[in-house]
Amino acid sequence: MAPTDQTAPAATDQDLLSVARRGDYAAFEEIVRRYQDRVYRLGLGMTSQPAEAEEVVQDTFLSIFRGLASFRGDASLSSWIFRVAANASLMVLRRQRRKPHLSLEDTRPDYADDGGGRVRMPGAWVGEPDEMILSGELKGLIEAAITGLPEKYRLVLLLKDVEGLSNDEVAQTLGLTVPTVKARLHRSRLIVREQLDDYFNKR
Amino acid sequence: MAIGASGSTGHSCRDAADALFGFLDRSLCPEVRDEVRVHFERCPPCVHLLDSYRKTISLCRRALSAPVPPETRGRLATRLRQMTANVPGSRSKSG
Ligand SMILES: [Zn+2]
Repeated sequence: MAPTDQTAPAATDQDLLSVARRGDYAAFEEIVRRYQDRVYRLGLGMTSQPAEAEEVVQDTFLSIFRGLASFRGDASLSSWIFRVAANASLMVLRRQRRKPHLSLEDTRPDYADDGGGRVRMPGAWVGEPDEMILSGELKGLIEAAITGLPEKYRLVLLLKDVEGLSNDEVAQTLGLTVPTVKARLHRSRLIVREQLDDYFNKR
Repeated sequence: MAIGASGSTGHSCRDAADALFGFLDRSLCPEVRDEVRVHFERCPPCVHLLDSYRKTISLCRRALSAPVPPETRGRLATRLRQMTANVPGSRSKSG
C-alpha cells in the first residue's frame, strides 16, 4: 500500500495516529521515523547499552502498534510513546539486572561545616555550556553519572533535560505529580553536577 | 550570628540551593526570588552552584543527543515490519 498524502511529513501527530489506527502501515512507519531517535536516546540513557537501547525502540513501537486499536486518545501521541518507552526501558533493565546505583543520601551540594550553610568554593567550569568541549572523557563521565542515578530519577532527568518535555508532560507521562517531578529532577541534577564538579576541580 | 556573603538578608547558602530549582524555573514568588537573586549576586560559591547547575542541564542534553545509528535504523524497520505482520487483525490488508 502506498503512503497517502495524509502521511506526508507535514501531517500532525493526531493525523498520523488516526490514519495508523485505520491500519495504514505507512502512517505507523512515519510515527516510528518521527519518534525513534527520541525513544532510542531514552533507551540509551536508561540502559547505557546501544543493543539494549535498540531493544527499547523495538519493544516500544511493537507495543504502540499493538495498542493502536485500543488507544483512547486521552493523552497525546508523544506522551503515550514516552510512557511506553519508559516502561520498555525498565523491562529491559529488569531483564539485564543492573549493578546497584548510588544512594540518594548524599545528594545535596557539599556544605562546609561553618554553620552558615555555605557551599564549598568553586572549581572551574570555564565557558558557555554550548561551547564547552565535550571530550570523550567528559561525555563518558556524564553518561556514567546519569546511569548511576536510581531509575525513577534517571527517567525524569532524561525526559525533562534531554528530551525537553515540560514538567507537566513528564508528570503526565510517568503518572507523577508535578512537585514530585521537580523534586526528582532537582536531586538528579545536583547529583550529576557534583560529579562533574569533582571532574572539573581535578583538572 | 553567621555573617556570610549573604550579607544582612540572612539568606543562607542552603536556602539558596533549595530555591535554585524554583529560581531557574521562575516558580518562586517575587519576594523570595528577589532574596535569592540578591544572595546569588553576593555569594561566589552560590554563583558557582547556579552556573554549574545550569551547565549541567545543558551538558546532559549534549552528551546524550545521539540519534539512532543508520545501520540500526534499517534493522529496526525490517524487524518491526516482520513483527507487526504477526499481530492479528491490526494490519490493513487492503491495497
Ligand atoms: Zn551562598
